[in-house]
Amino acid sequence: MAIDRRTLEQLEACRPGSDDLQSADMAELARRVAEDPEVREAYRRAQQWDAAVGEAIERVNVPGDLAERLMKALDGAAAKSPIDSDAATVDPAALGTAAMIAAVGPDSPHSGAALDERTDTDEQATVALSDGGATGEHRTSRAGARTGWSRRRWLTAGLTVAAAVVVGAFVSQQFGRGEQTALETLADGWMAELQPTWLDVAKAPPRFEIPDSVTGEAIGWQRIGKIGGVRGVAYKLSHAAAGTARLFVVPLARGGLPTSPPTGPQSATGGKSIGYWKTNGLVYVLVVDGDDRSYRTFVSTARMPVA
Amino acid sequence: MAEGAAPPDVGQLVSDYHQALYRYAFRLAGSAADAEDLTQQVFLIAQQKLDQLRDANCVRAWLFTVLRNCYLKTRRQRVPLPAAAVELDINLVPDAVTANDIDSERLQAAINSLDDDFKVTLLLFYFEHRSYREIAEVLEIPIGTVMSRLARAKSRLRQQLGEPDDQRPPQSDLKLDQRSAYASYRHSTTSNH
Repeated sequence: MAIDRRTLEQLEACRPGSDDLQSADMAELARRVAEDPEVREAYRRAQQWDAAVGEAIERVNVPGDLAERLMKALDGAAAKSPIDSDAATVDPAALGTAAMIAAVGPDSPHSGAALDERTDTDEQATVALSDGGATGEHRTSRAGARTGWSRRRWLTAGLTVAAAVVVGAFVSQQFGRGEQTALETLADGWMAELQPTWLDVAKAPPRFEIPDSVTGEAIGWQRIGKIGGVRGVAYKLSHAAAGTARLFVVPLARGGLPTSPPTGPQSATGGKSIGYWKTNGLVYVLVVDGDDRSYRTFVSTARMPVA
Repeated sequence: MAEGAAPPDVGQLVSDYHQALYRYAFRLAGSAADAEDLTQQVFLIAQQKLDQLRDANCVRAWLFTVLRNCYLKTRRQRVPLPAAAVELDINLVPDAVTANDIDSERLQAAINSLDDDFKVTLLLFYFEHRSYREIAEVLEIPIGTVMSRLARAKSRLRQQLGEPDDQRPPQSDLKLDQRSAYASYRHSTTSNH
């Protein structure tokens, strides 16, 4: 068959069993389908193919206990709102992430869902923080930040942060590169080792508890150790504003690691952002599904000066 | 649900939509673990943002949109669509095919190979049953771009579904149990060349 590209694209755009062919955009295609047997046959085949693929594409096995696990996670999130813990540790960058809750949700009138079209991110962030409670202090400081800081002060703060990042990156490159590669490799192995079933967080070994510096709701835990011969624990974390993450807690003899969670990921690959540190003989590797903003939301910055 | 009715509670949403969302998430993300994470993330957001839903009749579309946005937000890697995929060949469309003739694992591998722009367009068409005009509005792109993406993505699917087994890329982490008789599909494809 020799059918021109435009015709092919048009007939591929017609949903099976629909009246798409009757729309004004498709008038030329409709005429050709009616008059040209070759185009008519192509249209018939495309419709048949689309019906088959459309049906096949929805054939996915759903885990039998998925609804139960989802409800458990939602109950946990409701009992201890992740936004609440975020509010307790928020900085301007985290506020931006909190505001992303709204950005993640549909905000387009074209989405087919009729939503309130609130787009003021500051308002969204404040609402989110208010929902979490214990927000007066943060709202006050945020309001102060908006109104009380001069441009020069913001510039100074920005330069200070930028300088710290540059120095940190240099130090990391000079002294921590070997550890970084090794830990990322281990983390890859641990990720692959994870089983679909997670255990009750309340019964996680206290020795490997989640540090306060990591925010988000712990959904479950499981033991790890087949990879690299290191016995430890993995946690599944969830955060309404930042998605999901895994935290690996392992007793490793490593030097040169930060003693608290880095404010930004040490590496990002494959849609995951990774940060690691060592405290009291335990190495923590945080693997966040998302970008550096998502990562920052999972890490408390309460003890760090903003500027 | 009646027009203007109060939005359902999140427990009801889980009961009604977790399967559809998981299936959609699986096709988008390509793995069971990521699909479950995405599904959970959607309901966590729904729990907080359900009050923004003005029309309860739109809850399915709303959840799908949240899912799509969650997926795109976490995606950073771009998988370029190979140039070969832009070749539109109607001869690759088999004369007769049913859903049972399509290997689910191979279908997923083909979807995984698409760039997100193409993948999302394709799933809006197949999974959300959106028209080309609606897709253009959702993605804020011209209708012509939608048509082009759909044609290219479908062509890519047909190419991969029609490849002999020894040319398939290794797929180790897909554990769908729907390994239907693909041979019949391949036969019908080649017999129409």
